[in-house]
Amino acid sequence: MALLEVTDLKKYYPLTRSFLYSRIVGEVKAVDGVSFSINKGETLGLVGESGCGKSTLGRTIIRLEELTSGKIQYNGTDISNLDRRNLKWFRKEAQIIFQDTHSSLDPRMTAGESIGEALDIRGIKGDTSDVAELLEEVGLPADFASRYPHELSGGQKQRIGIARALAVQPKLIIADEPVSALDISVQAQVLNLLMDLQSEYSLTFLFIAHDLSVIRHIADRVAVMYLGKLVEQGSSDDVFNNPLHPYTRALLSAIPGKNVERVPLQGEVPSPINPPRGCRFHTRCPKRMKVCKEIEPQVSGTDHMVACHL
Amino acid sequence: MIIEKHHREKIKKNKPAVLGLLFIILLFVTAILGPFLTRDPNEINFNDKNLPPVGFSIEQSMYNIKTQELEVTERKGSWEHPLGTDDRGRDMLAMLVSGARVSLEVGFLATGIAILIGTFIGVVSAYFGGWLDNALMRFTDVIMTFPFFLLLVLIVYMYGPNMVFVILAIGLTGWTGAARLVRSEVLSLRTLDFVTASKALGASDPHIILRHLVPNTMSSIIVIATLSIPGVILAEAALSFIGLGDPALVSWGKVLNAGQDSLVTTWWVAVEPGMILFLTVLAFNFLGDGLRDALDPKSE
Amino acid sequence: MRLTRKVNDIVLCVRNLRTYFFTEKGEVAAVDDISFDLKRGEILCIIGESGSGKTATALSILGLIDKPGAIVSGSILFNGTDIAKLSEGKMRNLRGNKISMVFQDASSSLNPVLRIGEQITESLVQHLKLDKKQTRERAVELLASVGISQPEERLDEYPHQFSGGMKQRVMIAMALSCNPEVLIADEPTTALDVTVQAQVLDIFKELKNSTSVLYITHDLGVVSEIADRIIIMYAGKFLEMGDAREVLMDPKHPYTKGLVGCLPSGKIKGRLVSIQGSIPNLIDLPEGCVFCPRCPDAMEICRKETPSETGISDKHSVRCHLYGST
Repeated sequence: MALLEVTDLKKYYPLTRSFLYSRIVGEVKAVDGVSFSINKGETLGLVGESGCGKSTLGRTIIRLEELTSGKIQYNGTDISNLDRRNLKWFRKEAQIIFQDTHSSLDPRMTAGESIGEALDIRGIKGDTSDVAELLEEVGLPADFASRYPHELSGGQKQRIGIARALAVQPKLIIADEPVSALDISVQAQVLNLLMDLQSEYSLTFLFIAHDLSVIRHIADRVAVMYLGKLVEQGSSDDVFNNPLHPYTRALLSAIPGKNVERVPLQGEVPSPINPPRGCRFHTRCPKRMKVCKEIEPQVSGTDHMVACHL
Repeated sequence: MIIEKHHREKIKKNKPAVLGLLFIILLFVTAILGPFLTRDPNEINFNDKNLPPVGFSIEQSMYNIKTQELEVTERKGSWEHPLGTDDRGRDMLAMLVSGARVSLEVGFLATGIAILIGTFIGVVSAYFGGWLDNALMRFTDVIMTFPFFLLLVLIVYMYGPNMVFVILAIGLTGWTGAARLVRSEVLSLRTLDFVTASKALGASDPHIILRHLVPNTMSSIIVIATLSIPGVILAEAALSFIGLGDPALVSWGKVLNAGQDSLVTTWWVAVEPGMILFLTVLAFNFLGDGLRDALDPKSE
Repeated sequence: MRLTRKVNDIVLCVRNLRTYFFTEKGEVAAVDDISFDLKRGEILCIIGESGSGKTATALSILGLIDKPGAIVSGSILFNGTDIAKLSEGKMRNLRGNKISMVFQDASSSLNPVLRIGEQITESLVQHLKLDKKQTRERAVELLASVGISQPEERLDEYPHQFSGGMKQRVMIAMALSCNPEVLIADEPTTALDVTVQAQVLDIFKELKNSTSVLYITHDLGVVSEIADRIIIMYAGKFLEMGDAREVLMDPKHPYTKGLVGCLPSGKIKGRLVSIQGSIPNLIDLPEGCVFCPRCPDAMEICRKETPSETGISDKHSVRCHLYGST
């Protein structure tokens, strides 16, 4: 049974021009009709370049942003429109870890206080020994509880962030580029930690990243996002070994160091306020055809899905 | 918690700030204990009028009724009145000590009121945004243009002069700067990930405001407060100078006013309160600057 | 154990460079006895994680180290002159002219209130003293050479109208404007998307025969894509140096081996081989080999003595007791 099922999710941000009152003059279509599902214990890797909307998608899924339209089902329950009070139980089920270690912890609170706050907010009784246990889970000694963020390294701060997310014993974790800002050796440690935690607690991950090698390593299934839409989805092996969409192929070929023929992309990423008509990628696609400019491609395929006219 | 060890160390290195802090502590002690150790500032003694401070002497010409001549006598300062007396024989030292109490009271109370109002409006405005933000900021603009001076004149006219009015007038109109500063800080704080993390845990708005936003703006608030106090003290001195202050209380402004006519002859009556005002304002400014440098998160 | 090379083959010769920062908390040896040569027309990559001293090395070469840091000893020979000892005035003549630098964050390197054209021509005017028409022509040429389409129009635009990748390309164009002999690039593609990064790396590859490049990065993928030779730095010291292919295929130093093993490659699933521990605090470095506390192959001698350089081949040397002759 899918733990998380997302159907035709859209998140638009209105652009306003205000003089005395606000007028809506346009919309940033950050997420424009995304559908996918994640099974329990699985890791779905969400990959895309900057501005594609992957971060917005992650935050909208756990209702940190209000969705514009579409459906989000968690464990069979429709959580798309629940109000704050009715969402309280969900806050224990799903958590998020962030990319920027500098801003992910309150600089005025010690590590222990940050973790303890998670327990407090959700009304879970806990004391210093619980905090110590959580610190141990993420590989840090108990005395780190009294340290302030400015006394910690990037990797250590990230571990505290993970401990805070784990405190409420969630089942789903949105990992928003958790290792992108870390040194390589630290990245490996944190990735190992996440994988260990996943197998120990049967966690389900939505792992957002732009580093394809990391995604390939950690994800069971992969979804490739471009300008608010998913262009390809499938198992990690399928997508990496047999990429179907031209954009996926271009991304994979651009990874430095691999001896793969580069698929060059023309032009720049269009603005999400005015995405191109038809297939969004057609302005840069090396294989574009006449139909690509007119009609948006439908998603085809069952396990390995792709949205392309080819 | 707010001023941690490494902040304290930084401040210690800033000599002007340390001196300022010491001066302020001294002022506090003087204000609290002083009145018990000095004479009554209201005690009038025409015999001892216009005495210079210790160590100074001045020639005064007095008209002797009996001999009908102008006699020039030399009057010397004495330890009975270490800082001299005014034209009614009131002891300068006593008046300055009494004035210290008044100034500090007005300074801290008025600033306290202003900071509380300013912080509340700033935080609420920035956190909730939207129409509330707009409305509150327009309200702030209106208050900013409001002359508290005229308000005070009005109140004094209606109810008579009183220190409470001075404090309220300054406090209720002086919060606008703090409101804007706090608002801009909170605007950038609320997008930071640790606030999002709390929201993801289901924290309520009051929790986020009190637990995360206010503590992180505390250092700015402390700096704003420290730097506002001298302005308030000067404002009170100005008001007393022109006679709008509380006539029952002795304040530095009042003494300054009394001394302005005779700067050439009995110069100490104006110079002493002037000096003490100058030093007090300087001390708060040094301390405020030192605090700002030490607490500035960018320098960490 | 270096073979002697023809003098005019080497553009930049750094010897025993030490740059220390004197902070209140102690002395930080940001660059500690680093020596390397940059040959004409090659791309030399300095690889290191945070605190390795790679940026400090680059800034030392350009004389951009400010208080509380200073170059304590060593020499940086550029075309025969020791530029470590040059006056500020003479250094300014070199910067942007003969030796230029590209930084990581293009957004903060460009002045948001000036047009792109004005900023590119700034160093042209200063160093080459060209007139208005010449500078404009040259600027258009430069923009075209880094792959910016419609360069004539884009010259008059402002930085915010450019995307991240384009801004970085503009920075490279600016750095190349006076045909420098050495281009130092400090993590220029770290903040860019992978497709944009690929385009920018292409530009660097094309520079090969005209400009020598000192490229600083932490990304081993980038290194294997463009580097001729590499230096691995850690906590201010160099650990391994040599021909890029040789070092990456057959790393000798345990740290290099660890770094290469850390990378998720997709071929081997499961736990990554990680280097235990964390990067040391530069104020409190251990005695002996700086990597010893984290080294899986640490020996007694590693705790006591700093290893000296040992040659593995004529293109590959390492600083490690495992290979040194004691």
